Amino acid sequence: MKKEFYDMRVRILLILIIMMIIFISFGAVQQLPVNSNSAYNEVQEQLSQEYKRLDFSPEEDGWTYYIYSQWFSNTFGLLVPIIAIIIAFPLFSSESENNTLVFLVTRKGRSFTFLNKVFSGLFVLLLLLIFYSVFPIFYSALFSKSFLPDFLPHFSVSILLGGLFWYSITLLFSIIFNDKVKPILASLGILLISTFIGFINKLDFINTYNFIKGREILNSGKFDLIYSLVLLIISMFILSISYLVFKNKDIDI
Amino acid sequence: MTDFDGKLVLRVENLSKSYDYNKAVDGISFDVKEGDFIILLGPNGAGKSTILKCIMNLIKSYTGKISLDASPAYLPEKKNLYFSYTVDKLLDISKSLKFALNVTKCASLLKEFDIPLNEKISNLSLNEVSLVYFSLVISQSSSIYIFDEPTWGLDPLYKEKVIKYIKNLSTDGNTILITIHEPYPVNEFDGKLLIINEGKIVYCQKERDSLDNKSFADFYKRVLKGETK
Repeated sequence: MKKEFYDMRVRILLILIIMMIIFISFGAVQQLPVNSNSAYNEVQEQLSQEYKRLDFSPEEDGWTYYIYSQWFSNTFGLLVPIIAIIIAFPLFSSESENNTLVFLVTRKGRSFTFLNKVFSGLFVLLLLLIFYSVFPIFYSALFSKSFLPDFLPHFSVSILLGGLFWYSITLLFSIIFNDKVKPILASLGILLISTFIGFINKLDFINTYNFIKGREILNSGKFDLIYSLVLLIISMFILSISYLVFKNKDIDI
Repeated sequence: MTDFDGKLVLRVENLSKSYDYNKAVDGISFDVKEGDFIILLGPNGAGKSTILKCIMNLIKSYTGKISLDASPAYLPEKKNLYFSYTVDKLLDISKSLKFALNVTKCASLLKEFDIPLNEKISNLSLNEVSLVYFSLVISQSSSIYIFDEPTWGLDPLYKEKVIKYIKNLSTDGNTILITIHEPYPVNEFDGKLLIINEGKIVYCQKERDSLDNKSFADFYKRVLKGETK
């Protein structure tokens, strides 16, 4: 794992810094949407309905709702698949492109190499996602903002499972392709296609963003357990396929 | 199948491998026993590297059977290392990957090859990268050393040093399997020779005759032309 963490250090640092900048900027502009919303009765009405569903008071829990609806449901939620893709795409493809996979496989074997890479990447990804899921608590405490973390586990699990799903897809492409560009293009392509197909009413389950951004949590205050289980099973299935592909792949032909 | 004395370390049985319609290895069989020094000699494209890649489990889509009763130390034909690492970092990472690596021995070899530990791999010449790879391989404790073209791309001075180290490994009783594409270094090694051409073993020599380099080169050419069996 030492090598994998060393290889990922720049990406981890960049993601940490960029996300930190985004969150701080996000925190600083909190008043803008609240003020603009208050100018429109219709929007305010809608907002009140949302607050009722989550059992919040718009006056007292504005910051809490802002975190759930804007940070989890928009900014962070939107970036989760991108972060997963950035962590996963070079894990194998970079080694294939530079022909260094031979160095690893002839020292540690295929199974160890696979598990080592998969778990290192997954560990880093989950750590980053957990960090930016619980970060609002620390930020709120630091800036004396009232934040109710009741729905934090719901949003966090959605984000972690969404991250795992896109990580597993990108990992498979990283094994299949022998250069670094194709896994990114393939993963982003699937992300775009699934998002657009999800705009069709009856196929909205294909758009994973609905789940990652916690649409169901915002609408009903409930966590979509079935969708999360399906996503988990598909991710495990893709990881198993990835293992089989890597086990049987010709390296350095 | 060649049959030498000693405990069996590696057995290759009827190995074949094709790339599309091109047969790279065609039904090759041989054994490697403890303490053996086996030289696979053949021109470029003869199938030597493919045989080693199959043995090392890098190529999976082959037919035949390979039984390897050891964890080999392997020097590949393409000596690619992590360009963003320094030599020192590579040593550190290699140790974490292979506990059997003797870091002190490797560092002393690198010093002998005039390779600074704090230098980035990307700043090294092809000759130096090959020497770093070679140092990492022979500093591993292993029951079989597999070298694919160990002298390829090396400066003449370092070629001699590398040959000397491989000979020392053999003298210490280690098992060695090596591929070479030019006849010159073969005479340097006191090994058992298999000449490979177009994916087949075309000549197998248990005991080495003492021939000078020129005579051996002539002999090799005759074997490749099919004039000597």
